[in-house]
This record gives sequence, structure tokens and C-alpha cells, in this order.
Amino acid sequence: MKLHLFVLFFLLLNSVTVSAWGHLLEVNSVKINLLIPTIVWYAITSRDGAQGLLVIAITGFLYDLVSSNNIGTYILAMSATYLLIRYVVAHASMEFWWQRLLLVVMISFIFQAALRTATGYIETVWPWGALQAVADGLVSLGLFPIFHGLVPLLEQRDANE
Amino acid sequence: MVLLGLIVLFARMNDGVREIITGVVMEPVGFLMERMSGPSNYIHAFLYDLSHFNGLRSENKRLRLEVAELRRELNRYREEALENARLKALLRIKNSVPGDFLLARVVGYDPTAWRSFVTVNRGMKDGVQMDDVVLAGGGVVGRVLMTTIHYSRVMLLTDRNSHIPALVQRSRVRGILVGGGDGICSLEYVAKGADVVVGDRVITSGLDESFPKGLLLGKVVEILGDDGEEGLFQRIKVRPLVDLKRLEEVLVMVRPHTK
Repeated sequence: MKLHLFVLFFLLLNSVTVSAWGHLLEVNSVKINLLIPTIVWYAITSRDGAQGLLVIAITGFLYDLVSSNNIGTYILAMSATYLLIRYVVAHASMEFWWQRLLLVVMISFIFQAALRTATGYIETVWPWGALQAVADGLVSLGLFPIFHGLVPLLEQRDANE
Repeated sequence: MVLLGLIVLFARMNDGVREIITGVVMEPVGFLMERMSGPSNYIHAFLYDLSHFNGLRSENKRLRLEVAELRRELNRYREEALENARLKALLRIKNSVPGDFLLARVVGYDPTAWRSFVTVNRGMKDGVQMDDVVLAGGGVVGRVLMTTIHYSRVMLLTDRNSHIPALVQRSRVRGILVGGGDGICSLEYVAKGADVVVGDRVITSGLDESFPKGLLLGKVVEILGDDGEEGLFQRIKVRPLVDLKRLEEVLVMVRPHTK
């Protein structure tokens, strides 16, 4: 439960930070954003897929509210992304860091393509969507070890409860 | 006896001779004194510093704090001066365009990187309505697309969904200013051969109910497609007058309440 709440809170914090910092960490339409790396890590880590999907759907709904996109864009894109990662992880081993890096890049590119197409910016998928995917992959290199460090803590608290 | 004799002799000398002798003696002695007082002063200062070391440390700490405080103050004054300049620019617009205005601060950007939207801290409670025009610095920034009680979401004129009826100020050529999504807009539906040159100012035409006529939108920076290519229209790139990536304060042009 703590893990789900942690991810929910973290993604909300990320959405507020990305909104408030505006163009601070942005080059053209590539932004430093922890959204996709967090979803990938969460999909790999969480044991309960249904609860995870619920958390992602709630977060997607809130992202839709914060953004200017039509309601449903983020919910669908994020939920589909989560399910896709769960499917990939169920069929492939993700033991090494470079495997997870490639997974983040691939998933992020699909997410970018879907979202940019849905919002009418299909021609920016290349090169900006691809660059965003690479940026997400690089972010995940720093983010995953931190998250992995937190897992025992969150699970321990769960066990104590 | 010799010494006593010299003293008597010296006492009986007149002032001129005494000054000469004093000078002859004092010049080299003074030179030596001067050279020797340097190290002496240094040693004295060093010993003084040692004896007041604790005091110096606390004084140093106090001075560092004071410098930090002064720097912070200086930075605040700089920020206020810059803010003052921005507000003055907004005031100039307010005075030049008829209507009621609300000053609003930009509090957020769209998390979707490629969308050109900002959130401002004025909402329905302040009288902001959908389609209210938003201005800053040199001209139009965009229009209000959605309002909540305390906040509004503004679609910038560079967003791809932004379409504003416009005309070229000099030649009165009409077109539609469409956001390009990359910080640049394009003036569309301008026929080939129409009188548009780089540097022309583009203003609102007033055909849209939201935008009053004559508000500055941007400047023509590039003209394409007027050199024998196929098609009916020119492709005119327009750069907004306002730097939309550095918005801090904006003016919302409030219309009378419609019920």
C-alpha cells in the first residue's frame, strides 16, 4: 500500500514541479520529466497489477486536469503504457540496467508518439519525441537506483503494519 | 668634561646652525627608523591579531553574514527594479488600449512540453472569463481558454490551436495568424503577390469577437512560397513581440460580465 501511495504522491509532485518550473529544464519540446521512468519502475516493481493500474489511472486523470489536453488523453496513454510494460516484463527478463534503460526509451517513445499524435503534433515525434525518449532513459539511470533503495523501506513499513 | 663642553657649545649655537646639525643627524636616523618601524609594526599587528584572534573570528563571521545579507538585499533591489520595468511596460499597454485590465502572474506552464499554455493566478472570482484577451510587454500573449475560481489557463498565440484574424499594419493585408507550436506563428491565407515584407508588423484585425482591432501580435521574419512555387498562398513566418518563454506578469483584458 505504501508503495502505491508513494508513487501516487511522487507523480503528483512531479506534475506540479514540471508545471511550475516551466521552461527551466526544457529544450524545444524536450523536458526533464520523471513521469515515464517512474511508471516503468512502478510497473516493474509492483506486484499487484490491478492496484497499480488504478494508481496510474488516478494519476493520469490528475495530469489531464493540470494539462491543457482533453480529458482522457493522459489516462488512456498512461494506463496503456503501464499495461504494456507489465506485458513486456512478464515475457522478458529485466535484470540489467541497460535492459531497463532500453525499456524506458522504447516505452517513452511509444508514449510520446501516442500523446503527440493525440494532441495534433504528430510531426514532432521525430526528432523531438525520440530525443525525449532518450532523455527519459538517461533520467531513469539516476532515478532507478534511488527508487530501488526506497523499496525495502516501503516494504518494511508495510510488513510492520 | 668633553661632553659637558659639547653641550655648552650646542646650547650657545644660534638656531640656524642647530637646524643644520639636527638635519644632518635626523635624515639618516629617520631613514633607519622608517625602515625598522615596518617589521616592528608588522610584528605588533601580528601579536595584536594573535591576542584578538577570537574577536577577529567572530568579527569575520559577522562581516560574512553582513555581506550575505547585503548581497541578498542587492538582489532583491535588482529583482524589484526589473519587476518595476515590466510593470511599467504593462502600464503603457493599459494606457494605450481602452478597457479594464487585471494584472496576473504566471504561476505554471503546461506539463505537456509541446503545448503552449500558461496558468495565471486570476480566475472567475476576479471577473476573468473564457476568451478574455491576455497582453504583456509588446502585445498580445493569447486568450483565456478555461477559468476556475482563482486561476485561468491561457492559450498562447504560439499554440497550434490558436487562430487569430490578423492584418499587416502597413499594407492592411489580411490573414489568419496560426500558432506553429515552436515559438513562431505563421500568417496564413495571404495571397501570393500580396504586399508583405520582412519587418512588417502584424496586428489583430478585429474580425474575431475576442480580440479588439489594432493589438500588436508580432513581426514578419520570413516570407516563403512567393517565388513561383505552386499554391495560392504565401507562407509568412511571424515572431511574437513578446518572449512567451519568459512570461512573468500579464494583463488580462476583462470584458463586461455576460449573463
